[in-house]
Amino acid sequence: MVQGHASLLEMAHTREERSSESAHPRLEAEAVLDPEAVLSPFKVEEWRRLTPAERLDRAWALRERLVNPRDVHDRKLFPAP
Amino acid sequence: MIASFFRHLEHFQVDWLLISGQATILYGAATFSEDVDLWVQPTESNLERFRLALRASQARYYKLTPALTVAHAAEGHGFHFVVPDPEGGAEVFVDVMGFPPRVGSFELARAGARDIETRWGTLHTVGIKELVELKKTQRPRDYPIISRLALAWLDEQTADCSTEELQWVLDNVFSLAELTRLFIEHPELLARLPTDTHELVVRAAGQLALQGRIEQPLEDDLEDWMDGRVAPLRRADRHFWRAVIEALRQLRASRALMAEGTLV
Repeated sequence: MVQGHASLLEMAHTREERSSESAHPRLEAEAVLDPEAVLSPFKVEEWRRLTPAERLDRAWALRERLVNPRDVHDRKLFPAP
Repeated sequence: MIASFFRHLEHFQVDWLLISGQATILYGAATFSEDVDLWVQPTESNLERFRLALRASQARYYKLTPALTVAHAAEGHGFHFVVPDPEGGAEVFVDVMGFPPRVGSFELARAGARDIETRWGTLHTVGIKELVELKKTQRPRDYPIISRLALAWLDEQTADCSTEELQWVLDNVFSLAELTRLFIEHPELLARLPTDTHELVVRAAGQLALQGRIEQPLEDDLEDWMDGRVAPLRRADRHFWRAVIEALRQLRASRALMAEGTLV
């Protein structure tokens, strides 16, 4: 679900949150978890061979590596323009 | 763990479907999503049962969430919740819609949904065709995922698909990698392409059949053509949300949004 819109971002984040975000470096773990990077053409076959339940387990294990899931969620749901 | 949340949904007999990120993972089209998106049947009685399940899960309201009513759902609003992990793990973000964009009724989607057994329990998962429409958002990264969903749908077919179904697959391939995989894995499709297939696709299928790869000038042209097909879809999604955001702004001005952090 994506409600992306600049004004939505403004509505979602308080001034304090925005200032702390601007000082917050992009987390390396999140770059690693970029869906496009993770599902490279070289890994598609391996991923397809898993059962749906196995895929869910592995995906959730990836999520547990996030340092700040809330930040990742907010950037997706309320993205900057 | 999130499994307890899904147990509560079942206990309170909520009518729901798993959509978006986790659904694309189950179908093998994506590898990661940090939240859980649900399509909840938008009736007063079902929303009340859903509220009970949220309360049993100790869920709290998250940002920009109006009251969970059929009227707000019908305006296109999303409802955002945070569900704590009873075992002390990371909180889970649950995003909910009653009338998601670009798809028909909940009842039709439920009829075409799949029940997938997982460690979280049985997940009622929206069908691939609805999921493809749901993923036509303004985010560019959703379009390779849509393409993989179209290929996943084709892979599931046990008989030759009809011309209309093949057209649907071609209409929903938006990335070079997936277009290549389509014709490498299904070379027989070259002879079955619909008559009005774009000439760039016909040439790509021909090159892949003859030499196993697409030459660079054609690759560049295909990429431009695909980008051109994505642009109006992204624009349409932006337009959909513009009206919702305006309604959300008015709700906030009248202090009608739920207070973030309060228990449901």
